[in-house]
Amino acid sequence: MDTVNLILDWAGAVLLLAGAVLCLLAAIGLNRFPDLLSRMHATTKPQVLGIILVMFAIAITLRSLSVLATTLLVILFQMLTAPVASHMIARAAVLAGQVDLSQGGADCVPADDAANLDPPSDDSDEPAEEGSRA
Amino acid sequence: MSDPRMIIFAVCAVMLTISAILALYRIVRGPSVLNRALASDLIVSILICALGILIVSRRDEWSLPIVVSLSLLAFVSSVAVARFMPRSRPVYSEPHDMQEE
Repeated sequence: MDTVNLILDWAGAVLLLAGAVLCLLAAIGLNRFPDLLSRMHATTKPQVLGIILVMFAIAITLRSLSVLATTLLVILFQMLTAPVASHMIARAAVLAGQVDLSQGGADCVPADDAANLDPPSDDSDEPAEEGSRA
Repeated sequence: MSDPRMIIFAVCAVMLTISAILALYRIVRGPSVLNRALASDLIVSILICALGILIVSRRDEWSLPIVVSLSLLAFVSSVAVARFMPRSRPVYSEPHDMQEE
């Protein structure tokens, strides 16, 4: 039984190392890519996988059922929220005009959103109305 | 048994520190606020991994509810920043005078 504990402890350490390497890769990709959208590719994918591996490392090292349930909950939350955040950032980038649409992406902007685009105007009560159109 | 694994944990901590410094560089450098929101999301995830190192090295799951809360709230700042981003005309490659808009 002690060898099983030893193997599981070292497996947890290796998974933790892999998670840390993936976080480092995400940070390096965040700095090395030229565009916001490619930076999102390079950042969110290793970030989610790194958190998943770290949670597996926690669950393997602390061999308890409550810890396993909590780590699975963390994995579920991370997989639910990360696509939402990246989608919102990409949509805000396209609608703010920060993405070069000449290379073929203009058909991905929804028609009603493209029609509601207006130039940056003076400060008024616009953000509330713009938010309701979203 | 814990002494050889502490070297691995120390290496992990150093890697997470370097990645946090790199993300901080993107927060400073990022041309727009969306880059900064993305980098801050990454910093919160690095924080989650650092708490994971703490939990594994001490074999104490005391910090696990903090990890759950952080994983839920990590995306709230990004969504809030993206939600209230002002809109403007899309960018095309042909030159156009921005003052005419």
